[in-house]
Amino acid sequence: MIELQDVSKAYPIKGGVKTVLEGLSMTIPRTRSLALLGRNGAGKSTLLSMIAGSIKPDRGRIVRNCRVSFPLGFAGSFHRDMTGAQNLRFVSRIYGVDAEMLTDYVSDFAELGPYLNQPVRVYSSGMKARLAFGVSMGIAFDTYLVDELTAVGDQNFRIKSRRVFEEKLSTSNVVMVSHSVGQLRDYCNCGMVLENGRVEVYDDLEEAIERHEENMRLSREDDGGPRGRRRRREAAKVKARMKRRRGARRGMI
Amino acid sequence: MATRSDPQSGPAPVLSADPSPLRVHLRVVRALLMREMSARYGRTTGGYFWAVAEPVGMIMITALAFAALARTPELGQSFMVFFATGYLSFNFYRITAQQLSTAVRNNYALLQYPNVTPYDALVARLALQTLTNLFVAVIIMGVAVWWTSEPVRPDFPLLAGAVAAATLMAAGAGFMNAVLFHVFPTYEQLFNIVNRPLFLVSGIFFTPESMPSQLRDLLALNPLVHVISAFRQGIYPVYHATLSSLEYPFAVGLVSLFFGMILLRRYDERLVER
Repeated sequence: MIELQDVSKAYPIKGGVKTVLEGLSMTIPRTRSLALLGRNGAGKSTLLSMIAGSIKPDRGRIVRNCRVSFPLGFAGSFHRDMTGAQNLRFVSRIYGVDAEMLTDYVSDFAELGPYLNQPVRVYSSGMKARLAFGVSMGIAFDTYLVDELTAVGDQNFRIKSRRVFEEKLSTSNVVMVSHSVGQLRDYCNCGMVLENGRVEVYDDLEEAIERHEENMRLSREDDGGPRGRRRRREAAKVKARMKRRRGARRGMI
Repeated sequence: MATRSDPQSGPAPVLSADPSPLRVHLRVVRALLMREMSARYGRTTGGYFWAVAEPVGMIMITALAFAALARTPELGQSFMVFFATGYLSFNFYRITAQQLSTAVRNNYALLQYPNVTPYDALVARLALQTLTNLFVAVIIMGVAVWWTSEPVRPDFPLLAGAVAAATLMAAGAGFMNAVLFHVFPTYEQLFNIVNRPLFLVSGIFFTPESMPSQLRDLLALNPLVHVISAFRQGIYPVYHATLSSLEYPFAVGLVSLFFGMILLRRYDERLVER
């Protein structure tokens, strides 16, 4: 169970403050898998990092009564000059799991063969991703955090990954950011929509998706808001520039 | 709740349930230590051996070069021992501070793991670098004294005090810099302008006693002068340093470490977010 207690988060940006969350209190039970919806920049990834614990809220507390993963398939920590096995042993040490067990699991799962004992700098991007996904699957977390699930490896590997991940979800739950509604439907059963620091939580995923799509439609039609005004101003500028350029060309002829 | 995930793969290791923050800190520091040892020299055969061999070789060659100029040192018979005492005690500050200042920057990717904090990265580097410095110091002092048969009588409590003071100063400067270099990039340039000349004005190549008194009053303001003088006093039986009050570098180190801790708390997450 993950409990958010009166959590607020804002960023200073040029000429103001960007609010991501304002006094959000909610509970994510172990039985629920949560989809985070919202447009680009709404703060989905920030919220995910806060749930993970790598970013702290400005106010409020996040209580984790379960083992929460790092973002699924995170490969950024792999040191180029260390072997795949050394890199995965590092992850096993920071999480306090048995290094041998994790190595066995990953060497079976990621199908890297002799490459497991080669430095990561010689890996292809697919191999690196397979190693990262293997490490994520190899540690039994209660809650998996997913920021855009990307398919990894060839067809067979994808099928296997998907099967293993789905098996994981029989005992674990997931908090997922994705722009693919289909993916969210596959893995989640409730949803949360972020919009300008306002948050709406829906017990039913379909309602959340509906709300999100409504927001997106509104923003497309939005004329009166500052966003719309700015967009129109930009468009007018571009138009004027094009016109000037055309004029100049005409002048040359 | 162990999940059997794949018929061919063994079971995934299960995490121990919610350990105390201190235990997490200790195991993350240990993991970072082992990682740094294998990664910093990962491409060269010999690995961590070079972390010790590199400075040992460097100091030996420099000392031999200076000794070849046939200068008689201000203390003892051998310029090599005189140079080594100054340089080694200075290095307990300089290299450690330098390693700590970049600890957060170089470990940025690892901070994305929720249980790796900037504090872990700093503590791991502080431990590893201090250990390395100790190895280097013992090897060089051993070789230099054996080679030159300089009569020395080590005063171990005093040597330990000087080393601790230098390391504490390094921790203070390093913790502050790790944050400030990141938040105010201009500060990095300013710090380097002030920090570089310390090599020349901390008494590696001279003793404060040989300086005119006005200059000596100025040198007394440099806490590292006290560190080096105390270290030399701990090596040379005949040397009675006038500027060797270790309270001063200790105080500077503690105050800066205190501010470093505050900065680390204050800017904790800006470090993670780059």
